[in-house]
Amino acid sequence: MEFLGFASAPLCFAAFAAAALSMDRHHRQVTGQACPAPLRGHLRALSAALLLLAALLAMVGGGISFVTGVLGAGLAAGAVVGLLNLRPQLLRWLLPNGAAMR
Amino acid sequence: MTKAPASPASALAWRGMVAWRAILAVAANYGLCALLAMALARGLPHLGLARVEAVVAGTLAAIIAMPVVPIFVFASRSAWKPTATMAAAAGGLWLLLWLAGGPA
Amino acid sequence: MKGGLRASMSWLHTWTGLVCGWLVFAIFATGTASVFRHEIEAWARPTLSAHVDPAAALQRAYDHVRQVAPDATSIVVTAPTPQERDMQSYWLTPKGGFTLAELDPATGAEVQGPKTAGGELFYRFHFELMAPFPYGRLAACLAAVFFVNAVLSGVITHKRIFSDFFTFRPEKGGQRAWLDGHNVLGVLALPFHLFIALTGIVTLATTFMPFGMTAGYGKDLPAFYADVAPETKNLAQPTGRAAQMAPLAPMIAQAQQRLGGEVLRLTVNNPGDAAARVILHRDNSGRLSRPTQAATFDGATGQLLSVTPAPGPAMAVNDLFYGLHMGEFSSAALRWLYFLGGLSGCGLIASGLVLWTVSRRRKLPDPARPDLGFRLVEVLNVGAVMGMVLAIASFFWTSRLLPAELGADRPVWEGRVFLAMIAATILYSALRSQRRAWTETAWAAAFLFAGAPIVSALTGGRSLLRSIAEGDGAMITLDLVLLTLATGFVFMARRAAREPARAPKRRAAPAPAKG
Repeated sequence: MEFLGFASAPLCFAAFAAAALSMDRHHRQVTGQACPAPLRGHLRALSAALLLLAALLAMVGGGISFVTGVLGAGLAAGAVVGLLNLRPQLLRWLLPNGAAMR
Repeated sequence: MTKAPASPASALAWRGMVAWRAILAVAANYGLCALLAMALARGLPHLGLARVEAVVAGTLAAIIAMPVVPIFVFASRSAWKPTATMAAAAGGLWLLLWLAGGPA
Repeated sequence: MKGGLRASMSWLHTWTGLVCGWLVFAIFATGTASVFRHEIEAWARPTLSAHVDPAAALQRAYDHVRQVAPDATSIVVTAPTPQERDMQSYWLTPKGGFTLAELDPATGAEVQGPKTAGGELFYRFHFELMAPFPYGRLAACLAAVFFVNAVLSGVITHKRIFSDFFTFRPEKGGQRAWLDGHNVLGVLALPFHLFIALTGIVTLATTFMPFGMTAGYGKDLPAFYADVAPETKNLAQPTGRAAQMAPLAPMIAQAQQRLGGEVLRLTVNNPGDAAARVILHRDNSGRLSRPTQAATFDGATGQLLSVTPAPGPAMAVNDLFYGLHMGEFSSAALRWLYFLGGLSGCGLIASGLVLWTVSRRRKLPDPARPDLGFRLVEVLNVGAVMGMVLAIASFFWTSRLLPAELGADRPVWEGRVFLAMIAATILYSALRSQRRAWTETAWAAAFLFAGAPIVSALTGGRSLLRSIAEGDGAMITLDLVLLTLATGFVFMARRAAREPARAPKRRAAPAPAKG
């Protein structure tokens, strides 16, 4: 059943990416500007919801799934850190007007 | 970051305080956790647990407690507070152990 | 301590980290390598094949041991799995003799080829540190306690743990970059670091914290071990009457059905006697717990005598912790996650040790001539970190190159070279400048890791081409991991060489300590 733990990893990635984009420092890394106030609220809510879903998914699968989920979450967070430093522009696609940005 | 003071007399006091806290955080800590393991191993069967269960529970509790104790030893402003707390805890555990029948 | 909680925890973290850092790095590095100790064992034993029927292998191995040691009173054989190809076995003889052997599942006899420590070298070092019992284990446990404490004090010190969660600024260079890296590695794998260290201590609990056991059982320790392993309760004294051992296959099948899983380990007590007992443990690689569930059979008749009852809650937690630490999971992906967690732990400790010198170098009265204590830390940093790396890499060479004439001593010599590499790296680091020491040892590590697959192929060991031809995924991956490590160390060597050797700028007022 550990595949449920693995399935929660992409959800964690999306949650962490949304959380990072809601922070001014990282929003600047991706778009060059600070995060506008309404968007910040939306991103934080989305991040929390995705994280909760990921946690539930991992727990449903049982013990090994939970351990896999926790470790996979760390990996997902690491992926976000890596993208922010190496290819921040890729994260633009997660924003509503991201495709329009240059 | 807390720095060692400059004058030789207070430097000695600083080193003494650090050494005392280190003894508390390592040696006294180990002794206290060993007491915890013994008290639980002897005491829990009186609450209905099987002997092997009590031993394992006590051992696990002692292992988990050990890394946490130094946090309190070094967090308090004076070195006497953790000394007194640990001594009281040791006394309490010793009493529990004695009440449960002493170490087998 | 004066200065508030964060300041005192920062002080505690700095000094706990320094005191235990080198030893904890050694434990983490060999532990990370041990995640794949079975694969390393298979690499070191090129004759071991991956595809064998476990039940037939157990029968073959048992028959071989009976032939080789007819007076053995107790025989234990581990079943081969897709990961663990060799069968770790041991047997006891009446005069107190104890023999360890690795058996080939294809033949049941000892694995052919020059003796090598295989995956056991890193694994044993990881918790025994090649020190006599019990001192190595005690030191490892104490180091683990210090490490968990350092993680806890580190978390308290890290004041912006949520706002700085994703912050990594390598472009800033110097202390800021090292601190960011240290924090990221610590936070991202925080659950892993905490549970792997705590569960590690639990696996050595009877050595490190035996007082619960002695308080509960006094001198009657055999009763404790019997309570811990209820499958031994049906054992009997040998009668002296010889009796043919019943075939194992039906017993294995029945055990699998009753226990609900594959059989991991075969234990035979009083083989060939009328009071022979066969204990079959269930493989728990699909679960988080250590293997405890077992079925006990009458050896002569093959009749099932008992199945171990489910453990109580405290024991179940203990088994869970043990299983979590050993990480003997059938899921390869989960084992890779453990490997990555271990690597992040190595990076965490190494970056912490380097951070200690980087942050202090600025405050030295004369940065060009550091005091002895500072220089000692610098030298031991390279010695511990790169020494362990070079020692681990050297095994892949010694396992293939040491002469077979050494015979039974060959694994001992592998261990000696391992330790010698650590010592040599410390000495080398003392003679070179910091920058050169890190750079040159990194180049050496790249050379050793890259050369290992080549040396193996040239000396009749595993070769990448042969592994591809045989479709041996594990061996292909191991060679690729070695080459990836080599590449990583090339990058590290080039980066380390570029570090400016100038003395850092003196500041008018010391910068406030950040979290």
